[in-house]
Amino acid sequence: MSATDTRRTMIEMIARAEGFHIAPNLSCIEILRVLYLRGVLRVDPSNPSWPDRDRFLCKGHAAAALYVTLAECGFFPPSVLADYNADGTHATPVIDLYSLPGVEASTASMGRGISIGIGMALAAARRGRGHVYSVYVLVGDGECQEGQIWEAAMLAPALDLRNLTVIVDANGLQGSSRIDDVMDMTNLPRRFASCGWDTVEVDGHDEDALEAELRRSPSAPKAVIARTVKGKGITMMEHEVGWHYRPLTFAELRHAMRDLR
Amino acid sequence: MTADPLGEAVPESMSTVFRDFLLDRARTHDDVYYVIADGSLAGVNDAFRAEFPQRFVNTGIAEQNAVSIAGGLALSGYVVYLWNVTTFLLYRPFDQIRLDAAYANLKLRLIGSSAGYTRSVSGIAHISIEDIAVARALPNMTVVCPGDLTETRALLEQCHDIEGPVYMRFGLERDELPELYPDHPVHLGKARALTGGDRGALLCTGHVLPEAAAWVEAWAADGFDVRLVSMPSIKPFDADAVAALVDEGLPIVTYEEHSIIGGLGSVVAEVIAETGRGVPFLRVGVPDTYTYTVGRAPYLRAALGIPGEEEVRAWFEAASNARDATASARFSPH
Repeated sequence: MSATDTRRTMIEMIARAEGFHIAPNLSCIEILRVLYLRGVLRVDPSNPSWPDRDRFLCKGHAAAALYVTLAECGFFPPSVLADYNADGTHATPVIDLYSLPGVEASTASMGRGISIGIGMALAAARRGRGHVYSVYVLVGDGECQEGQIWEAAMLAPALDLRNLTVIVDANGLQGSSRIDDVMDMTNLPRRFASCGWDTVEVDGHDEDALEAELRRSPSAPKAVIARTVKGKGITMMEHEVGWHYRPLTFAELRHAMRDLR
Repeated sequence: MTADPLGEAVPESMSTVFRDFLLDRARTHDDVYYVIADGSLAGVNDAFRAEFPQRFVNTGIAEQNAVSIAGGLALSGYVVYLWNVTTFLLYRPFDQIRLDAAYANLKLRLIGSSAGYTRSVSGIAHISIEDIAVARALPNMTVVCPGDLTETRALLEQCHDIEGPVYMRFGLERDELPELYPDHPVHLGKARALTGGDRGALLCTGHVLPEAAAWVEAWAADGFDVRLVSMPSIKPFDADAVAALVDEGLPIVTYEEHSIIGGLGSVVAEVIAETGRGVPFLRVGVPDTYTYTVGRAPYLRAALGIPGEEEVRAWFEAASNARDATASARFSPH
């Protein structure tokens, strides 16, 4: 499947379930594909709790994108996607520890992912024979307004956790508005760098560039600021604040699917 | 008595017992981790860091980070002890406690000290009168308040192996922990009836136990026998023990250095109400108010009008006399 195929599967799944958080799921598709489908993450879909697996902590609103990617990677059959957002199923529309195989923590209450990742990276790094696994944490740029993000950002370099990578899905929007309208966060890369992170900026929709940066050996905990487009792939949603929360009407769904042909 | 790091004899306290327990566990279990967010705990932190630097992390003054990191370690297979002053342990990072300890149902051992008014001179930042209420409302959370040396040692041991998170509430870190009633066993989830007595039952939890024991012993020496029941286990709670006191018709007083809302007093009130019967009942604790002046515990208690030894005894006398008068009227042939 191409990234466009992934988006189409995801939009159909969300629309069928009358779900929302559409735009923040569209911005991170390539990031998730590179992690799972290009083998950056050392995981075994047939054994999701393999102790030495790499850990991935997803940003909390990107459950739809993650589920579609996990299904494509083989963690569960694609038929499970029909459960998305349905009462009594575990396919929660936000990331939850108890949701589907391959999900590692409940991250929808924002700002905690890097901290949980530090705990996991510490557990791997201090076993006396080099770290046995790596930890990748995806957060939003709006999420970086949370204070806990910076508690974690200040600490990880002090612990020399080179097995920890943070990816910021920097799509420039948050729930209420453009990030720029709330505060200036254009210097996000400099903030991570000044805390001691090995920081790079990359086009978050360029899978080759993402893969190269994620595979590069770091000199410190790594921060990859992925410049993305919120709502990527669907013209009416790109850069539009309203699609953080809005569900699709039937007419809009037909329009969206035309964009994803 | 035990010894401080310089070999000087010091009385046992929360910090010495916790230090000995934690070091012993870490020596015999390689899955024990210790997390702090700055702060000083009478040599415990330095001793652990010196012996187990690979299983220790100080997050700096960053309580939210500390709890979530502890969660990440626990998700990776560690039993994680996290100490802080209770206010900074539970209140500052409450969402993290709720999600990364309670909801995730992980082996986090939340060790809170300076509870109640034990560090009240440091003001509201260090006054903790809502912590039992907050902790016991969380599903999966075990809540215990050891009151003396016996309960502290026993409950640290018993809580270590619990599958989910535990909150342990302690008084001041260096205060001497007396060894009261060591022959009465301590079992998680069970009340400890420490004395006999039929004029009423004084139920207490946590660091007020030595004070409650002194009251009851003084009254007994005076021929006024009140049953002392220590309830160090708030969740799970020994509802059967309270129901049995109701069956006996004993007037009940709860005593704790915590708000009368949500603590031991509330737990016992809920149990009494659900028995469908009634007994005279008094909650002794902090009324529903903050304090706004400098004040050590005795000053604050007096300023707030919290009943002390004399008032509680007077209440028991009135309640038990009324009960006896009612009983004799009921069975009078006239």
